[in-house]
Amino acid sequence: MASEKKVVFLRSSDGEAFEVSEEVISAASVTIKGMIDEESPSRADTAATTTLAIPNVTAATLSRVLHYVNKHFDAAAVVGRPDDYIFCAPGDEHPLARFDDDFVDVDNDTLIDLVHAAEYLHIKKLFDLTCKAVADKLKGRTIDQIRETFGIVNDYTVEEEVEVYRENSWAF
Amino acid sequence: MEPATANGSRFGSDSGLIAGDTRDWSRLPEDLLVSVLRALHVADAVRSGAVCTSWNAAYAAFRRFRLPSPKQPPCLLYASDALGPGAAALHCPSTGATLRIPFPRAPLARRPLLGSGHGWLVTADEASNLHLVNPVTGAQVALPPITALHHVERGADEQGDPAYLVYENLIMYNYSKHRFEVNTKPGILDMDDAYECMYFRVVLSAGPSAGRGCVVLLLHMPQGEISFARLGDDRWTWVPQGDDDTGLPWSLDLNGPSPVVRKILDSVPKSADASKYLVQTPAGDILQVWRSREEVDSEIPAEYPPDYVVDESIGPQDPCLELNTIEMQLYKVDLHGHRVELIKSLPEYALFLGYNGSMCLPVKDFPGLKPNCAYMTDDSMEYINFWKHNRREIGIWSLAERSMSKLVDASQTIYPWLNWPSPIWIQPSFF
Repeated sequence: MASEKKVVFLRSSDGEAFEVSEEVISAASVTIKGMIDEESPSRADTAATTTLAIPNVTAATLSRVLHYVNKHFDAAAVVGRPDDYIFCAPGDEHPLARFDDDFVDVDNDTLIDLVHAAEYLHIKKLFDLTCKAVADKLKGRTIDQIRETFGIVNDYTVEEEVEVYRENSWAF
Repeated sequence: MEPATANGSRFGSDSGLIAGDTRDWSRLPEDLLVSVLRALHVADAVRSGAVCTSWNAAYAAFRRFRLPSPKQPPCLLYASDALGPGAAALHCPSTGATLRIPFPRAPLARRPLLGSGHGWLVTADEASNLHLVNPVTGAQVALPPITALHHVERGADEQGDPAYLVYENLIMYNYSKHRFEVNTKPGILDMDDAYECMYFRVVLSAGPSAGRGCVVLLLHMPQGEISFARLGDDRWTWVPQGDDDTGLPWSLDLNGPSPVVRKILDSVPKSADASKYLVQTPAGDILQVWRSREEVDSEIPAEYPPDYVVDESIGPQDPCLELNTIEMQLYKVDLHGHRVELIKSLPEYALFLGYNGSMCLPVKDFPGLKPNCAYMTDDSMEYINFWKHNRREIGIWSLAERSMSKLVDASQTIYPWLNWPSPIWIQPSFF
């Protein structure tokens, strides 16, 4: 086996290919690690580069995800990483906290794409980060404000709405 | 090369969704919404869980899984005339928000608030029996009745009406016999207000979801005796201890077959009549906080409710009387060195003191809280119960400036609090 860093190509749903270190993406994404492991026997003695299709993720989203992955999972780039800092308060200074804040400071469409991508690719840290970003958009909002922010239609029947209100009236 | 899509799809949503569908926020997968709800404070989770049917289903799952929420900022729970009956107010000093919450089982204005911890309130019913109430869920848990205390039984007062007989067994001097003897004659307490004298403090080790791990500890009459009950017990277990009124901290170990009481310090500095709180910092240090108060004459008399009947037997009521904190001192308890050490400040923390289980919280986790301060409520049993409608001391004590400031600007208070029951700190919780 060559000791040089192996790379894989990820092909987005809209056909664009992205190069990423196999080691880095395997550490980050359970899904892609699974794909690579599945591939390994067939390519053990070939020099061909692997291209994996990521049918649920667009190029725009995939490039953002890989930006995140390279920041967080490339051992050479990561300064230090206590693992569970996602739920820390703003005051806690983690080397990547600022990067993370900026990373999820995006519009709703981009954010939901990132949440789906993180879930599909099974990147736990990114999933937690994006869920927390969604949670931040919900904080301190009334129900109507939440519906407006996310374009959600009130789909309760009258009876259901009365019941939901009765059970949770204190928070309204 | 074969693309490994079949392999990948089991980890996530099905392929083939077009972008328009995946961007529909009302169609987020349930597990994903549950992860979002986990990151929210209690009130935000309730509200978010109600926006539409699919989010409501995810909220139901979140509640069913009993997933923990992040650490909640403490809120002041209180009764207010500005709210309808069956409601209470919840003010959060960290966010500045005030919510109106239901308090349906019994009007809060007629229920005493005797303690709180882990999201639950301790209150007493009309027979002075204790109950735990979760104001977020409305859940209620009865504790052993007052007659399950070692020295209380049901009897009758001089008129023959039902009352509680309390055998305090205090040692008194018998002048006719010229000697000390144990007074075995019981004291008589009215059933409905026996709680005013009986319960000094009620402390919870955990919420009721901990089952037998939920220990309720009472300090009660006479002189702050200790009894405790585990959830599910039908009696309070009395813990006899030696005489001590010097404010020394003790430890009570309930892990063995029978409770073990130990003195953990030999002495503390001499004090005037200060209230003492024990509180643990997030770093694990134990602090003893001393709060000294004095009676002052206010220029503005408190307004008594029109239907309030003054019980002349306990003396005249002075609506100008207030009990104000004049000094606070912090001591760090050195368990190994068996001594206490005076400390000047708590630059990273905010304290929450009152009838609640004492809290020491890192301000970095709760934007909006002031460091080096103690958020205070009134907890002088005598003052609260005998001057029921006099003004309560609710404020923020600055350890640096050694003075109290208002919790909220009066002009910004949506719902002004009633003086009785005395407002109390609570960290809301779903279970």
